[in-house]
Amino acid sequence: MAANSELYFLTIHQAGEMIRNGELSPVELTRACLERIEQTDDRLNSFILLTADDALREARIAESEILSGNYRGNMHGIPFALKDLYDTAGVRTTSGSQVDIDRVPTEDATTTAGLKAAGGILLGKLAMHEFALGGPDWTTPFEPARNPWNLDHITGGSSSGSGSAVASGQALGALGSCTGGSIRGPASLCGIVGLKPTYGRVSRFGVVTLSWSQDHAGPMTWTVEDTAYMLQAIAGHDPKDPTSSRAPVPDYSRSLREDIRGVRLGLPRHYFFDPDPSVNPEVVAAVEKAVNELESLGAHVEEVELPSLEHIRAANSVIMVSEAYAYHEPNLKTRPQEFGEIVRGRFRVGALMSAADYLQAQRVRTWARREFADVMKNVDLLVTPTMTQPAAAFEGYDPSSTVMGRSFTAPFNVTGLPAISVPCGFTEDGLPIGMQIAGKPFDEPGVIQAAYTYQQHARLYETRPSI
Amino acid sequence: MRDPKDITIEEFTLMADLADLGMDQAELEELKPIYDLYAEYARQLHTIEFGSEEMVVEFRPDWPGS
Repeated sequence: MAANSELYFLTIHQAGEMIRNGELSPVELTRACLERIEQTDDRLNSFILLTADDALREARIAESEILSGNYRGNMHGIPFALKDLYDTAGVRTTSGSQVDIDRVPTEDATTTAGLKAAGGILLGKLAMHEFALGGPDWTTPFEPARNPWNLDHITGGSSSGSGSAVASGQALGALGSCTGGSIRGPASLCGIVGLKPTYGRVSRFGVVTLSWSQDHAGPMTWTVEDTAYMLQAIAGHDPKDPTSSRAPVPDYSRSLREDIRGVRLGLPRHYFFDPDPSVNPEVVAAVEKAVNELESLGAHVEEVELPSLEHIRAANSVIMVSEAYAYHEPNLKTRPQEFGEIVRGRFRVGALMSAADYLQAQRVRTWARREFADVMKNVDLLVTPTMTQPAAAFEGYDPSSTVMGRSFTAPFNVTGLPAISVPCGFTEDGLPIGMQIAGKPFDEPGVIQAAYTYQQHARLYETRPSI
Repeated sequence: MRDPKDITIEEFTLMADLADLGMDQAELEELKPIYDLYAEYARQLHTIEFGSEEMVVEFRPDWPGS
């Protein structure tokens, strides 16, 4: 483990303060990140594409703007990176696939544009599981990203490079995308913070589709405050995304308060905490301890029952492959050999699901939404482990294991509720463990405040992986 | 629904042909175990007793952008 003394280990909050006060140049910070990438990416494989020249040019512009008194806010001059399914005008966007190996969008995703407008400096495009599903898959064109806490272990996915880049100090923040847990999963396994916002809170325009009705875009950062700052830059209504919400966007920095007194936390023990063959007891014990700490800080904890949870994984999976097949059908039929083996297989399964299967999955979704709404009349937030297991070793890893057993993240993709993963401990082997905190629709402020309170109490952000 | 594992490779080949997936025999044999995992999920969904409350699949008549 390493201390946070290096420039590339600054948080967005810390770097932003220094940039605003003239103590740090965006050019100096961007160079530090680029050097860090150069020193470490031969082992981490976080990046698919570096845009170093563009980044340094944008950093110089940011520096000039700030020196002229035109400071735009927390993200101004901050180096970030994007999972390689966020469209970037004029910059190749592959979705980690041979299918899109030469694809160069002509327009930025709305989220890409939002971060640029906030003054962020794009460092490059990050590794990911092909088309945001399965993996790691050695039959795709790119090497899998590796976990900075232990290079022999996976990062989780599908936002694999986002997890490794942020944890290792290659970038101060990143965007991931999430259909069944692809933001919170790698965040938990890499010891960082990841937020899946409410469905419709952040535009999906220009984010390559896996499952229209379950895809979410969101930030992955070292701290909760950094997640709040990135979310601020990307949240809001987007007429280009038909599923985008018109709900007003609050000031998320107002939620960065250490106070959880009186907040009612619901624990669905029957699914997330009780023994199950697919769940690692060490993970559950760490989250139990974190819940006790939240209680000691003034939260009220009570057990809740959500019977639909037993079927949500099934609904998430059936909806996902059905919608993915519909989206990818033309390429699957004309050039199937360009897909990696894992994704090609899973997408083809989508063609074999019946309309009745898909509709039954949607009915489960209706059930779950009603049930969660009912339970959350009596609690403010739900608290659970983020993942069933810590990061697995590459050796002997079976990617199909992600299809089976419980999923602690999928319930919040199916219901669309906001959910964050915040680090809450380590296994005996030194692998990170995350706690998931989920809220009511559009209660990102409540989720952020609870996670921030825990983070400030636990102070796990003080330790970085050694690489 | 039938247990997916009871679906023979011949039946599975017919299903893939009907879906126009254009797969050879080796690919079909590789896909069948993955299909079984997902089909088990689909089968599970058809066993749920929702009770008296109607679980609708919603349609909203408002126009896009309204």
